[in-house]
Amino acid sequence: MIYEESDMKFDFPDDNTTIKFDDNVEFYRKLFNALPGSKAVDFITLDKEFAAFIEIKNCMGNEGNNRWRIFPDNQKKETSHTATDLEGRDSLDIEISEKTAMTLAALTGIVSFGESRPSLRELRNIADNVILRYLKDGKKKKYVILLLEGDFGSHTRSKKMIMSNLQRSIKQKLKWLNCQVSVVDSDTYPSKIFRIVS
Amino acid sequence: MKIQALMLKNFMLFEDARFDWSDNINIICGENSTGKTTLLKVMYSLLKPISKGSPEMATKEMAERSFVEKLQGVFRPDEMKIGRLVSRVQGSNRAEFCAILDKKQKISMGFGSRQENHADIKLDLSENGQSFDAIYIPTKEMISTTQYFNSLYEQYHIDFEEMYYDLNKLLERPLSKGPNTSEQNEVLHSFEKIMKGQIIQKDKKFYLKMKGKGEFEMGLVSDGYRKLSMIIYMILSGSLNKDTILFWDEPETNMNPKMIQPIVKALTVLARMGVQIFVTTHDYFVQQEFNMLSVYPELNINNLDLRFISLYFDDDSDRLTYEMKNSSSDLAHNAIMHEFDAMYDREQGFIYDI
Repeated sequence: MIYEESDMKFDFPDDNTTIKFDDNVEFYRKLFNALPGSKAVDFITLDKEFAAFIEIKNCMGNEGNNRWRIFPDNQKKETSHTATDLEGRDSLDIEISEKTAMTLAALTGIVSFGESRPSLRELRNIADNVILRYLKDGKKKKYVILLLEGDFGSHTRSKKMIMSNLQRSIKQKLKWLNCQVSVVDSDTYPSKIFRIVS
Repeated sequence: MKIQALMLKNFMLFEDARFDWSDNINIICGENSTGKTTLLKVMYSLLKPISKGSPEMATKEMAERSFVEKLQGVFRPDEMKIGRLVSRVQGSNRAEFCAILDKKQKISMGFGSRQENHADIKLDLSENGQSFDAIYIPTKEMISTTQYFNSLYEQYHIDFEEMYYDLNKLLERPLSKGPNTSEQNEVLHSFEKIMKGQIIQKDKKFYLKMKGKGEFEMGLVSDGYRKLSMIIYMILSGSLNKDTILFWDEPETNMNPKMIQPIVKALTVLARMGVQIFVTTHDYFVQQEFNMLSVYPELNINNLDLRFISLYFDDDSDRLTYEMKNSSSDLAHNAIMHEFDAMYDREQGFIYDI
């Protein structure tokens, strides 16, 4: 099935269960957003063997305003010269780690309602699966994936070095979770999980 | 004196190569066994016999002996047979190589694979008695072993390449008279800032004198600091001056990445002073600190000419080949940067079971 996010189109296998989590009105908008600072990843997709939490950052054409975000731990936040307001924004490693944590908190919240909220039924199936099958089973893989589009490479650092650096930092921040962290772009993304259509 | 070009034919790994060098800084990169150190050694072997302080070569025979012995000492082939340095092919072969120097000077050398200690030497030198020095800094430091090394080297067969002996002789020189130039002081300041002390010599032994802490013999100082101490002392003794050609094999050895930036800075000051520099490296930081000067001209205020040389084996022909660019960003084969990307690819492969 094709989904759109950040001016890009993604094709997830029809056999898998995929949701565009932060688009959900009944739970995400009406309930979860009551929590100040609430945020979540763009996609959750479930395969027989793995669950993946996917965040899309398409910075193509707007690299200048986002360059400070590729340096872990807000290293460049104070010294960046961008046209955008940085209030409440963080470097990508912090943002993705927090989004992952909050996504799991949101899924736990959904499970907590049990059968009491029929409007959450579709989400509850996914939340039950994530919490009770994928998270509970240490052998099932849990992926946290940041797709980072944009020409961030420089003369002294290739984009892969930048992605490795972010990946290490996110992994460090998510060491409380049994998961694989992966930072990729349109050249290196895992096609077994999704395909970029355009 | 500057080396403008080096031509090699059938010499070790090099079948047929010509390198046109920068007068300022040359950075030679490549995986192991691609000939980086060979390039430094062969140039040193050609230059050192005619450098300042070397014995005069009154006859052709003396010249031949001088170059052959230097080549033997620097490369140390089995049984000192220089023919072993000729590229290995079935049957006999002949190596030819030459260094083209400024003022249309040229040193050429050639020998066959069956030669033991005879070579054809051709010297086209316009000056009688050269005023330059060639300094080779090998990967191992020498300053902690200066005291007895030369007498040991002269009396016994110890398996050290001759660059170590030559370097040790330079370290035995006393301090030079007169004030340093401003460039020399700049290099000294850069290194002494890293080391938080000064280098002193007493009875052929070196010490690092740190303010408020006293004097530390070199055996008690880290390998990285010992290397910097060698450079400092060679500046203080006048060995490393504007007329020097400096060959430094892997300056990163035993150095923390934090020490690389000041070292590169000091090398650029030396180049500005007039030193022609040849560096081999496996190190990301060394390569990229120099690369910054190339790609951001505002950092290269003296407009130093930097050349990056990448040696590699061609995938199709499996032959050693090379490319030479003014910036490492332009190198199509950059083993250091490729390995960073390859490591990322391996990690993704592991994550996704690919």
